[in-house]
Amino acid sequence: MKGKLIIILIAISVILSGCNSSDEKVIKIAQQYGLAYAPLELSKELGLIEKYLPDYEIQWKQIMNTATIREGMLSSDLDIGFMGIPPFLIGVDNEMGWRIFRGLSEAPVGMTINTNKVTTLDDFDANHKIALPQPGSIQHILLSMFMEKNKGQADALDDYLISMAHPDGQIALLSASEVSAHFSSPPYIFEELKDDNIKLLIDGKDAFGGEFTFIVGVVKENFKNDEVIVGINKGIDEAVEMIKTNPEKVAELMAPVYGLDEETTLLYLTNKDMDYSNEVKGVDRFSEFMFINGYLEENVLEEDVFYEK
Amino acid sequence: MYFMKNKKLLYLLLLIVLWQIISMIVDQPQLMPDSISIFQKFWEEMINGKLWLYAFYSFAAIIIGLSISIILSLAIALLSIKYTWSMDFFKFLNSILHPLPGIAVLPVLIIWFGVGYSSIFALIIHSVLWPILTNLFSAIETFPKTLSKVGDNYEMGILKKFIFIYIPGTMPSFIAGIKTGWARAFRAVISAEMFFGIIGSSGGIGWYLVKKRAFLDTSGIFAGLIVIILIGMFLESFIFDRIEKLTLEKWGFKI
Repeated sequence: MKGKLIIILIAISVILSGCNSSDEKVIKIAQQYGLAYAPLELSKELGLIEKYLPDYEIQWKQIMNTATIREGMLSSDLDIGFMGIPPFLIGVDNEMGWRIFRGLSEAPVGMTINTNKVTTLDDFDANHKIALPQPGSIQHILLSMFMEKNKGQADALDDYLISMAHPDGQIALLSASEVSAHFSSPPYIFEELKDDNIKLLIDGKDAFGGEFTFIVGVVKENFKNDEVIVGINKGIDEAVEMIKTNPEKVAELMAPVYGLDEETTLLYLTNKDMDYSNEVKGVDRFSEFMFINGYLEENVLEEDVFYEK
Repeated sequence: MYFMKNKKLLYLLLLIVLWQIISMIVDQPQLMPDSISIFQKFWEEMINGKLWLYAFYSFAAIIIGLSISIILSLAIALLSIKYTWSMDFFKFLNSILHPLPGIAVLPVLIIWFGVGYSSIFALIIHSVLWPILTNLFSAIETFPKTLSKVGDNYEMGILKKFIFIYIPGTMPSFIAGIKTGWARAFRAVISAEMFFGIIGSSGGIGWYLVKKRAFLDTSGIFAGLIVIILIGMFLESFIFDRIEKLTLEKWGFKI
């Protein structure tokens, strides 16, 4: 009887010790899937961040969507997350204390259509839907921007959205399903456009009216650790530099990550619209649009959301 | 009875106060909004009419799916009373398919039926049919021979016997099966809506939750949960109670 009790107590203490994440030497970084995250994949592969932060353990988490990353950061399960600007702004608008500490990449995002199913913006209905990661994602906001510009109504197509991860969306677009359009990003958009029946209907840059940063790095406000931020930035910058100076080597390393062959990976990484840099462009424009169209309750200003030392 | 209801009201009040206190201690509205703002949100969403619409879509899908399943299960039961092989076959099928959770078969259903209403109905039928059949079969197997013989004495055909003897006789199990099935269907539909978003021309309550989550609107999520609870309670205490009154109590199974 006593033996059993001890075993149970040990079991409980083991389980509880797993919950305790107060170890300060661990940094948990969340990223998503896609070519835009290539510098992170490279840092992970080569241990670039560990190089600048030898005292820390870096834990990478690959997460399927931004909402989950946001919830993870909210519950202090994650320290740093990478995402599009609109989901970040939604968090700020809901009093989430977090800040942008760097840009990661610009990428050619856009909405492709299967011309066997639809040809114009007017063809969408309950049987012809648009796949994108989720409402409030950068893809959704870009679609809304395009609709406002061209039809005068930002939510004109909101009734025909389907929430899908990019790989599922790609399959659904190409197959004989209700999904007739897919608002996605590289490499999925590149792969889709290889098909003769797939055409680009909306270009993200046209929708936005200029250049914008696709993915930014975000850190919680209470994670005030300049040493770590500087270290992470150095690691990622080194990866970015490597993509620019030695893309062949990077393609070799990244091909298995993206399930593509080396040649294709090199082609995609060096696409003229794929631009990796720490610059952050477009926060004000996103914020203003989202505020005017009711996605945000307040207009968030760029100067209020950057990480400062 | 009145006292019982009063007591439940008291518990509810206690729960709300407790929630309010904890949310004030936590003091992070994105994690745990206080009860006042949840009710405010709930009211706001109801007045705008949108939340009702979402709830209506899920509810309608379930009712239609439930009706199809009931008809199917009655047909299978009729067949199984007539032929033993049918009972054996469906019992075998039931033992294979009953343990499969609806959300687990969803990927297959999407491949077969797409992301529209057909998948949702297939999912509901899968969730509802097996619990009803399990209950119906055990009721049929233990069905008193005498009652069936009474039908024979009146020279009833199989269809007449089924309608006037078997259906009333197995009603308690039948209703128990529908209740289990309904609970499973409700879960399945909400998971499916959260899985692939809008079905048909408008989304259901699951899609509403996805949208609220995407915009970090925690009070909105709780407003959606309240609606789900209300729908469950409505079905339990109005629809099922009424059916039981009209059948079981009338026929003397339950007083």
